[in-house]
Amino acid sequence: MEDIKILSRNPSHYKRETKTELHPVHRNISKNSNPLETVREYQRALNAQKLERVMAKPFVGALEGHTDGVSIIARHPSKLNVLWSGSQDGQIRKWSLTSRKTTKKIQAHDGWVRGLAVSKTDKIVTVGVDKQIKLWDGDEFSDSPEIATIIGKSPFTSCDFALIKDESSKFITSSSVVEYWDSTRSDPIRRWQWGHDSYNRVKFNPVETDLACTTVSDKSVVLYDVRADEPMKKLKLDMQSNGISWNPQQAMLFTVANEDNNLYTFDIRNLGSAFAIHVDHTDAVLDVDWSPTGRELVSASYDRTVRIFQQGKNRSRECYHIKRMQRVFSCAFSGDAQYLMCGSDEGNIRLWKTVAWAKTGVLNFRQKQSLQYSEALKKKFAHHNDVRRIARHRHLPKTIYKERMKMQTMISSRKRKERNLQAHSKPGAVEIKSIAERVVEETME
Amino acid sequence: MASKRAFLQGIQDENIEPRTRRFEEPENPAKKASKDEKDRFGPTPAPSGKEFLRDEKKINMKTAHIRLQKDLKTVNKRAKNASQKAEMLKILEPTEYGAMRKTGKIYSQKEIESVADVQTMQKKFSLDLDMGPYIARYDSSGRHLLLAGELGHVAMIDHYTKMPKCEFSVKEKISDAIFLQNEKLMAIAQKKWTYVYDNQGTEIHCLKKTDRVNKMNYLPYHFLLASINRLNYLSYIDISIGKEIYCKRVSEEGSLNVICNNRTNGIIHLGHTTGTVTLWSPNSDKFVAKMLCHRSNLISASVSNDGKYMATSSQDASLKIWDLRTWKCLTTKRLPRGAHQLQYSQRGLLAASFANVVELWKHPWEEECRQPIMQYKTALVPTTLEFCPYEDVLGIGSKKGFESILAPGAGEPNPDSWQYNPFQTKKQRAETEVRMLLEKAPVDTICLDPNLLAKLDQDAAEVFDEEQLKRVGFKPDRKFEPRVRKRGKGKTGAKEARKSKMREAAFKKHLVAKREKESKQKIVKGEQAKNVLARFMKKDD
Repeated sequence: MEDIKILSRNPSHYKRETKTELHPVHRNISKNSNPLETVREYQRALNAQKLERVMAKPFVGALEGHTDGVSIIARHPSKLNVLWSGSQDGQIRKWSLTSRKTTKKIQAHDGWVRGLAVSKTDKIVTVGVDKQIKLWDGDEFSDSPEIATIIGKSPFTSCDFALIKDESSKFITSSSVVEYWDSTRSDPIRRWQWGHDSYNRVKFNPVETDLACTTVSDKSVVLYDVRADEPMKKLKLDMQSNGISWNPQQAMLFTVANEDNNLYTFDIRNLGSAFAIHVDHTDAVLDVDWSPTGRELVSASYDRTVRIFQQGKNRSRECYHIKRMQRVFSCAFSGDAQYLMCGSDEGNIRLWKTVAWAKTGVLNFRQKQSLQYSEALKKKFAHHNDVRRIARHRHLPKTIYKERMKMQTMISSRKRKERNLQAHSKPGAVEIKSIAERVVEETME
Repeated sequence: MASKRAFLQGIQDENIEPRTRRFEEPENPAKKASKDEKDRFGPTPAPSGKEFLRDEKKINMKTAHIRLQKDLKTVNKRAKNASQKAEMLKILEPTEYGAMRKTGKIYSQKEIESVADVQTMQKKFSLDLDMGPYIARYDSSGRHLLLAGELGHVAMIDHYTKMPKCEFSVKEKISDAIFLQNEKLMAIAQKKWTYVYDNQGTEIHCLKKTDRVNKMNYLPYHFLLASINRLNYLSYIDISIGKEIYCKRVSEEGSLNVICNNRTNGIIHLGHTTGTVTLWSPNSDKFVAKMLCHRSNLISASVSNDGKYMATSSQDASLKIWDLRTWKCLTTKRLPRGAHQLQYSQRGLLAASFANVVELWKHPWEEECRQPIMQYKTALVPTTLEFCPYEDVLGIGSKKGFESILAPGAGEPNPDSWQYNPFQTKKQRAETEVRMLLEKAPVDTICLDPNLLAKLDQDAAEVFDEEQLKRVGFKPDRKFEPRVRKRGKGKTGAKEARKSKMREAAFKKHLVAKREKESKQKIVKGEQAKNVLARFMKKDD
């Protein structure tokens, strides 16, 4: 080895030969070449966070067509493009989400379409206030859409298809009783009743396909096993529940959308306390749906907003609202979990992005890299005050903002009073119960 | 590099048979790993990745929190993996560094020239100019050279192609000249005020706030221009917004003539005639730190690129190397005279000049290093010494003009294209400028420890306890260690539960005691109240 070596740079390594090439980029990531790295990365994280808020445009479009309010929407379990919706004038429509146009229109019922379920083989079951269950062929190219009609004894409130492998002919309905039907028979296979109340919603567990859950008008939630004669468990809450959804990734979790502005997630193994409480709505929550990833859930509420919550976390991640969207009656995630749909009172179904700042379309490698880098930076500095402040910033309608402020003062004063009561009474006199436990009034077998 | 060389040697070996068939399938390397093959190439050393590791120590925190411990483990593991991969990627670097390898020998320019190729010899040139002692500065990418003569002559040349970019006369005395963020702007400290000129020579700004400036220094990542005054004022100007953000009178004795900056944390070092070096940041009214370096007048100082060492020289002909983290003097070297100019290069070579001699020291912080590695005699006394960034070149400005000499091992061979690119086009220069502005480090972050933003807040528990003490008047005892239980009862969760129970019990006890105290006080007050009113009662009652 020579004892003197001099740095000699070849300029061709640093210049491009023709105009069609990219300029060569050489990176030096050693410590000496990057002084003040932490500070500069922090600045980049701040910029990335601000850009995220700038790019947060979640509204994609509206599916217009219904002449009356949309009461229920259901997505096709295996086709990403297909969405079915039922409205308050008895009409059901099949939509193509990419073109946002109706592909099929059927006048199904005389009054409200209360329940709608779609099976993998394109069969639809609808139930309505006119005491009828109707089975339809959802295929676009079939001549006669109606397959069968079953007449019941009382107005139906909801229905759900049994997710058994081979057959798509078994479904469950709720009215003043919960009934399990086979489409080929005119009488239900099973009938359950616990007390003399009406049943609001019924949903099958997508993983454990024999389990079903209903909400009852006596403020309780009942669990069923389809193979058994009697209902399994009953869980009483403070107020009535309006919607149910099972977590598609974790079979033991289900969420109920309650009248007291909260959503309660329960673990069926321990119904004595809530697994998680999702707080943020300012009016009754009407519908809830879990994302196919099992990590997020969307809730539609009477306060004209749609909120996205994360599994296990009790505050919402996002709040979607639009001046034209009135009371939201139903919501659903799309099959790839990238979009969510909500049907509201003025007859429109709206399509939103789940990740508000995501870039749609095909991204080239450099774009993907730069987006990944931004996400990593935001994650790294997420706890710093400035970054967190920007990340939390959302515009809310004035009514909702004021309502939330009011609720905060109410809740904090309640807490303060409880703490004082506990502090100034004989130790052991006041029973200490966690909030999660307080949710459940009683459980029965 | 050693393994690369061994691999190339291996190919020239006679034992390998030439391939007969053109479309032979590549052999499975796992099958062919016989003993002979392994010995020929030698063992490949696992990449250590030490130079790419940001935190020299692993983040170790004693915590009973299992999740936090797991997270710290993954963080440390990920850092190690990343640094090893970065080391392996070094093979992609297009240019190799220079070096003067023999220790104990003093090289001369003639020896270096004999080894240099044509391209390198072009970098060694001299300019005879006659407008006063010249100040020679390079811009951050190392492409442009700014020459400012004291009598008012200013010239900017591209020293790769030797093309002059602009040349004009300021018609006033110049005390200092410096490039700002790139070659587009340069600041020249003239007799009264500081002026900012374009690369065409047009006067852009006249900074009246910085008047009678002695020396200037530019902090590239904060866009700050620091200047020291004849009236002993230190001022900072943010050149991106054009405001003077800091102006304080330095209360040390003597005039301010020595200024250098620490690139890793943005702190300015000022040298004083009392022999002290004070460290300044625009966030504090006073100096951040003060070091007594020499017994006599400090005449020059320079901080190394990695922020570890500071070299200082004083009138008493000594050169001292200080460790900036422990604040201790590592070595003292005796020079024939005090070094009037000191400059660290990008790779750690130290240039010192006294009288008309320029010396280059390699690894001066070591005790064994007793003599410089290169010596060069200039015609006249040098006014400025500046290493050209990313080149093995040292630029010397003197009364005679300018000359550049070869200094092998001085420059960083591979500049990061996202920051400084000597071959940048106009568009790239504009984009880099915008990117640097977006990442501009805010002034609040200038402090002795630049990594404060990423550090864990380890005294959070203590702060919480203090606040609770103020609020409630009670501070829990965090040192309670529960007895170690066996047979499945020693789980961390159970331990934590017991600890919190003890704390709650202690709090309740405190509350009970407080209530009793208050009730007693009430009684006492009641009695006192009676007594207070008693004097208004009639004596009969």
